Amino acid sequence: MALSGIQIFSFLPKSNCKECGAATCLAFAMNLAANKVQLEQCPHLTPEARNSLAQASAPPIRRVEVGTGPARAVLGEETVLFRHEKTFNHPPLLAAGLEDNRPDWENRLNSWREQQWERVGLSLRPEMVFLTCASQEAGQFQAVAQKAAELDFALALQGSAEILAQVLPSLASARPLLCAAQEDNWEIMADLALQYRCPLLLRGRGTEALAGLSGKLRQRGGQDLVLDAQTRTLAQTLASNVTLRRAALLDKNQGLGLPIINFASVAGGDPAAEVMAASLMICKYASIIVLSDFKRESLFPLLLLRLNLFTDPQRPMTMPQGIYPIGNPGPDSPVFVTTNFSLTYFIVNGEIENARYPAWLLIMDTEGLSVLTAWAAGKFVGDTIGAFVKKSGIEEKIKHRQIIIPGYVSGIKSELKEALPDWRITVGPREASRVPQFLREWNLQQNDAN
Amino acid sequence: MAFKPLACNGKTAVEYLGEKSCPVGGDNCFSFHFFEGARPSQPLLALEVWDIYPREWPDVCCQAYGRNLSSPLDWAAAALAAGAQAIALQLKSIDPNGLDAGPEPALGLVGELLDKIDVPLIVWGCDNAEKDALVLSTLAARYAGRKLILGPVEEANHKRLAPLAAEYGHTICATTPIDVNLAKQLNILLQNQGVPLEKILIDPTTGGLGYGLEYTYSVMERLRIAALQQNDQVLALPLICHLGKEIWKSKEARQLREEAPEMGEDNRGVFMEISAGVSLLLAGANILVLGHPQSLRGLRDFIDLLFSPAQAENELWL
Ligand code: SF4
Repeated sequence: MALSGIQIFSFLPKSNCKECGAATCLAFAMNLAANKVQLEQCPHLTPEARNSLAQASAPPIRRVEVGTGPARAVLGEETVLFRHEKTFNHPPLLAAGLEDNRPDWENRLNSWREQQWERVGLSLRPEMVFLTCASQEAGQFQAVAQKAAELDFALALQGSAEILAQVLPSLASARPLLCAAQEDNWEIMADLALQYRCPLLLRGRGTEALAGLSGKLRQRGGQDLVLDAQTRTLAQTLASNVTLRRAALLDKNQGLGLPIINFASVAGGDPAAEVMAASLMICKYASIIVLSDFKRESLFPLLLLRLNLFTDPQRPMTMPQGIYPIGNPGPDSPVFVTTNFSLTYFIVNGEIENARYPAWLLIMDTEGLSVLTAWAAGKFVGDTIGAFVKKSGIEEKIKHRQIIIPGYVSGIKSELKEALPDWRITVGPREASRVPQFLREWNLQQNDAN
Repeated sequence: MAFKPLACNGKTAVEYLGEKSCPVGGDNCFSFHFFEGARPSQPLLALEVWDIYPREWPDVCCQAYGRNLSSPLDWAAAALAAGAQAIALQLKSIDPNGLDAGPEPALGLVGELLDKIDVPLIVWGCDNAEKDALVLSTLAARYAGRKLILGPVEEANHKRLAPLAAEYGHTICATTPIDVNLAKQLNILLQNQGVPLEKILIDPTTGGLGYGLEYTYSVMERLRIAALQQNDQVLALPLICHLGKEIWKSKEARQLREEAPEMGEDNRGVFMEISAGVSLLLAGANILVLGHPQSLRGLRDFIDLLFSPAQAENELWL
């Protein structure tokens, strides 16, 4: 939770000694609130004040990191119950469960790594393997974990304290999530996590059990925790996740202000059941979701849902300005122009693809505004579009000089004609869903003309 | 022990749909939050039925119905057999950019359907405000008292439709473009035309998965907050989402394995419909209109799981 200058001031010595470089303690507090200085610059802070300040300024849900390098991921740090209040910050990791004694473990890992898609310039892929030591052999466990880490998966390692102690010297640098501390082993697991600086999964049946364990762990110095409330039904999972999120945000309960792990198998084992369970967990507050497998047809929908819900509602997604060829267009293919709101791009692009006629799509930077809003804001009008078309480089790619503008801005036709005197301006459909029909007719006309 | 209830002083209206008065709404808590409130009625899952042969529909959906698709009546019967709790007739034939049929075929078909099915009948136009007003108002007058659910009704055509729907006892789907204020404004306009609130369903406009679903999701959450926490009666109405048509027009749902092996098996579209459906149900949807019967079964299971009676067991997690 960010503190105000006044709140910070209440913790400072109030001696105005100027050693921090500020004229007064209050000035220092204001600078600190604005992130312009570091707390360490005041040499007179008592350890108690430092502690209280750190606690008061801690995010309501602790930031926990797992993985390193390309597999590094941040969990926690969520600040709202509903995404429209601000945004959801860190998309939940999608993990697949794996037992190290499966004969096909290597094929599985390789096939999981291949499952990725490009969208809006982002790479969509699952990022974690939840590996269980079923072989009871440290060597086997370590080999599988190593391979998963090489394939850029973050790791959750589930095994006895003895097994974990054997593999951690070589695996700790990958910063795996250690699984799991519970009532009967929390001390030894906490010590392992502290020794190897790894995050630790905390397992307790129900909220009370978790709060108790989390308190004990923190006293021992273990802070980077992930909670598993061991729910047994999907209804329990929803109740538990909502309770934990509210306890963290509304009650500032630090013992429960931690990222949550959920297991999609709670709704039953078949793929449709896992899709529905994981979808609920994406919407309602999981930070790690463990599936029984990654399969393209069920993984892709979950990645899309996650992408949608974890975009910042205050910042529309945009596409880079430029020329987008669809279906191998040539010098005679039609040219469309529209705005760089990513939704606009996706829908128009999808409809042109559906129509199966190649075309050029010019995407103009309108700061993510949709066609009508960009037009109203004066960003998608005759002279701006004209200037963009000229410098876009499309003229070198085509023989004709015809451009199709969205139906909603038919009013700018004559303005655009002035800006592009050599061009024929055609008003396209208002709704993207009419684009295929429009393209069919356009192509018929062109053929007639030839 | 750690549980903090969210103060809700509002409640959404219960509405009774169709000739059998099927209840929807009446929630006094967020979706499926049984640990702090009640939701007396389960969400209603409807399936699309088209009035013409669905040439544009993806193969995966067509295969689910087989030969039944050539007759809307057979299609509806198959949809009911698959578990649909409402039928959403899509009047594709009236589209001025397509067949541009007049109201007559729709009049005949709606009559036959009303006689044949005993679940609520949603009749959906072609998204052309003028044409929809013409056809839907004809239907409203011809089937007076038969409790149709008519949509989309927008600001542009509400003046022609609303008085007739009100007079003849139909329910209206009030469609606005993903905006809380516009939704409220349209409901007030409809009231001014004599439509009682309990005859209005809010259609917030549904974005597809990967195509703006998040806008719908957040507007629905805000509509629910307005209803439950701010006690805004004008917005405390059941929500209807036309999900199926958004899912099945997207390329990602339609692609077949043989053309795009990287997309996996052909049930991917069903999973997309289930995944998006779960999110809309959580955001507060009371009625979902779906395309594929298998998605309906999946979402039925989801609802059953969350309405499960083992509530006492939840207390450990509160
Ligand atoms: S160094 Fe510390 S005590 Fe001295 S003025 Fe700065 S904030 Fe105040």
